[in-house]
Amino acid sequence: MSTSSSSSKKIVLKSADNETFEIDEIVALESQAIKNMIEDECADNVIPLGNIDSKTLSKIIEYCKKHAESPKKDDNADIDEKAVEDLKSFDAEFAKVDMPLIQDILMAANFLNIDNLIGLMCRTIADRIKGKTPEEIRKILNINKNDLLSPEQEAKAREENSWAFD
Amino acid sequence: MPYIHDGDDHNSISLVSRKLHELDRITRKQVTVHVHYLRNPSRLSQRFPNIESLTLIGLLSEFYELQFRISQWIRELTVSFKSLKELVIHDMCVDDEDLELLGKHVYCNQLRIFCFEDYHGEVDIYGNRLHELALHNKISPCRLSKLGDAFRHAVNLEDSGWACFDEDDEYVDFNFPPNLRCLGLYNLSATSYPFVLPLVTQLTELNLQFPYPFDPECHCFLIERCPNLEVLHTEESCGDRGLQVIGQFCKKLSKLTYCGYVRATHVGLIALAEGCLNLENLDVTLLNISNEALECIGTHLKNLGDFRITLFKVDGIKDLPLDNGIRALLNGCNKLEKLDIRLCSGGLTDIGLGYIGKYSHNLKYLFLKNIGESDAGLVELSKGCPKLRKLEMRSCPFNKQSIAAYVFNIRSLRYLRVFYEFGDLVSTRPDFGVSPTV
Repeated sequence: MSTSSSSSKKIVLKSADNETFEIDEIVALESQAIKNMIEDECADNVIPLGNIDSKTLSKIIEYCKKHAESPKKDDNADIDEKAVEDLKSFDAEFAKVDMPLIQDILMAANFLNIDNLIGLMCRTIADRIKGKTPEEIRKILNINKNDLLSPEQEAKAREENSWAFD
Repeated sequence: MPYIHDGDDHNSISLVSRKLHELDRITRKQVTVHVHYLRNPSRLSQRFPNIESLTLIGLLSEFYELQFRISQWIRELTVSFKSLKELVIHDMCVDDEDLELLGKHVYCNQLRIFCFEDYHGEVDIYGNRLHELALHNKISPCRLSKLGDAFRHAVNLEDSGWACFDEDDEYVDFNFPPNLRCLGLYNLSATSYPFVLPLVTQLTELNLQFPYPFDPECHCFLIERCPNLEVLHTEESCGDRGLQVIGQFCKKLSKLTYCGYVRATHVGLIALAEGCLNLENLDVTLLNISNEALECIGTHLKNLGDFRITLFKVDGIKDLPLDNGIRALLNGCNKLEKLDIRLCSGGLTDIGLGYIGKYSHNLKYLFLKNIGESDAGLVELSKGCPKLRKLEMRSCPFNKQSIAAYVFNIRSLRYLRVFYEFGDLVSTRPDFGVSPTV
């Protein structure tokens, strides 16, 4: 990760595959979990993230950077609409990745406690399975055969679904 | 799960895997149950133990054997659903004992909304203490002069329910609660504007009704001043001008019921469609209609989910049939789930019916009046409409036997109702494996 020229405090993260990422503290604060560590003064050394690989972590840093740079809603009641639109289109672009990576990002965002990112990933998954059949959803989510309902369970659920509808 | 709203999607997800089935089972908050297809209520609580909102739908019918009593459902509700906050009941028999049982039960303390809908109106009960009161009151509009005192204390009230100004009463010192956002007024006249005008910019919901629908006053003056309206129900006397005013000033409108049957036509409808792009729910009664107006709806109202059009006049309409207009509308309004078209003879040919079958990808409810020419149209209709649940027809030229033979070819169809002069035909899916009774 490139380091910016500002003299602000840096935080160093280490991924599961031992790559280190130096980021501005303000970017790291997007993660509630890291924020807590900083407040508890446990973030002076490298923070090891043993369950997040470098590919996922660099995506997450990209997201946090963008969101840290954008003006916050509560800072200024009338931030210009362009900034809001800009962030929206960034989010839309950011979510255009394959399903395994989305699931990795979701798990990592959950671990790091980044609310907006959890929401974005859940919404993305929901959008991709809307209007799809169960078979299509299985493919999209790459569901393991061993995790399927048994034929009896599925028949029962189907029968129940037929009376619970809008 | 919070990002999934459609019942069909929930049902699909429940079949994907064991994990997702369980997740859907314990997180489902809202369920609509068609009691004809589920005779054993305890199966609902086994499947969805944590629901907060339940809608029970019976079968509206004069045939007694098809009516459903709600007692066994109430008994189940009082023992099984501990998170229930909202209960809505459609088309079922409810009697005092049922209500008493519901009212007595401890879990009903948290029951926020209890709503019983039928032909006569709607009862809302807020909180346990109001049960008795609401049950014994008739639901006619209250005189506002009687509410003056109550309003002085109800500073937080946001929804006034129904009320009317009565000319004989005095309104010295009368004020609406300051936070009022939803206002329903019966027989409003311009002399009462001073009480309403302070509220206009904050109103999101306005409902204007009149005792003599053929002679209501024009309220364009008022509507022009309500820029934040999201829901508007009005019986206008200003016809096309009323629709034009709404289109010009009420940009946030998502739901409109407009009975402008004295003068409104396709001209006003076009102005409305070009102005209110957020409309999701539109119910209009018109004197005249054109293909162009329907096309215009298809072009502009991309969020339209519920569309109802009633033609008040039965002859003298020049631009018939409306086949191409309805095709353009269905092509444009992809989200349409409810369509209710009541036209005049010749309004839609068999070809138009075929279009409804072919282009209604998301339609769940369809009402047809004076539509089609022959059984051939019905056959075309029943080749499409892949999500249709309920079909109702009146004054359509189809053979009784053909109707039953063809429409259930639509795999998703659950209810059929055909209105006849002497007794209606009500039918449910004949090949449905009705779950066993208790």
